[in-house]
Amino acid sequence: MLNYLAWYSAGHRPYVIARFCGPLESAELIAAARASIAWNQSLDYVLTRLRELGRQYGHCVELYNVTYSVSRGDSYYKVVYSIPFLESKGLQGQVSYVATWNSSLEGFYIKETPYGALIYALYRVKYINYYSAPQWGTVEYCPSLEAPSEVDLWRLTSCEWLVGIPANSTVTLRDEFGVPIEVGG
Amino acid sequence: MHRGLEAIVIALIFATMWSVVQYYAVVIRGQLEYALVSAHRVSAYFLLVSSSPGEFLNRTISLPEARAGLGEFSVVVLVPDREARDFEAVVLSFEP
Repeated sequence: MLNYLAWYSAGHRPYVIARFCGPLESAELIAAARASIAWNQSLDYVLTRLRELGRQYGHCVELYNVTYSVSRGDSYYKVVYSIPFLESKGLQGQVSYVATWNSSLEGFYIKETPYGALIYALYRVKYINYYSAPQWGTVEYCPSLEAPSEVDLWRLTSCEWLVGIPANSTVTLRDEFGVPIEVGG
Repeated sequence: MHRGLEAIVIALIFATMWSVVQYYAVVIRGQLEYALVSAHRVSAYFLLVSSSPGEFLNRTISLPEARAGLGEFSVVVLVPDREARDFEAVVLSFEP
């Protein structure tokens, strides 16, 4: 009978009983930060949309009330959220998304193209994402990269790539989420 | 009813109820809470490493406890969709 009652209450009040605040909202904030960079949209806009949908689907929207800082450099993106709700509970209330890459010139090679032989520069690129939240610490992930057709791309290890691009040029690679990364120069 | 017999009956009822309540609190509720926390944690992890709603769904339903759609423990995950430039609500259910 108790098993039945448990099943009944879970089956008929799914969003009430399945409400567990924390990890999912933090992951959604990180995904939102990543998406705003990939989609080239303001983080305010993306978070507004996240809040709308979060309310609709019964998420713990108090965790979406954040202040944030966004910084970008030649080889990194960093978005850090501060969540006052967590801080008011005495917890460390920071969730962050960091994407870093570095590239080094390895050499040159000649590539036959439809426009004739071109000199290509070969770069070694290391690309890593760090997703941090109080619920899980830091997760390190190496997304795959996508390149325009004229670019040669080889994956060496999970985080390291060899990228061949026309010498003296810069190309924009994108990771699997659409986040742009510039290589060359 | 004899007072002694009455006391024994009341004691038996309390003993039975107590064990039932204890079973619920320790076993059933424990299982449900574990399932709930696991469902959210696994959804969070797969959200971090999935590049599309389809990939997220495929990764998650590869778990034996997970199903697509509403069910016993339903979790709605808002997954960014690169093509639509919006979030897609993916509904998953988990069996305790």
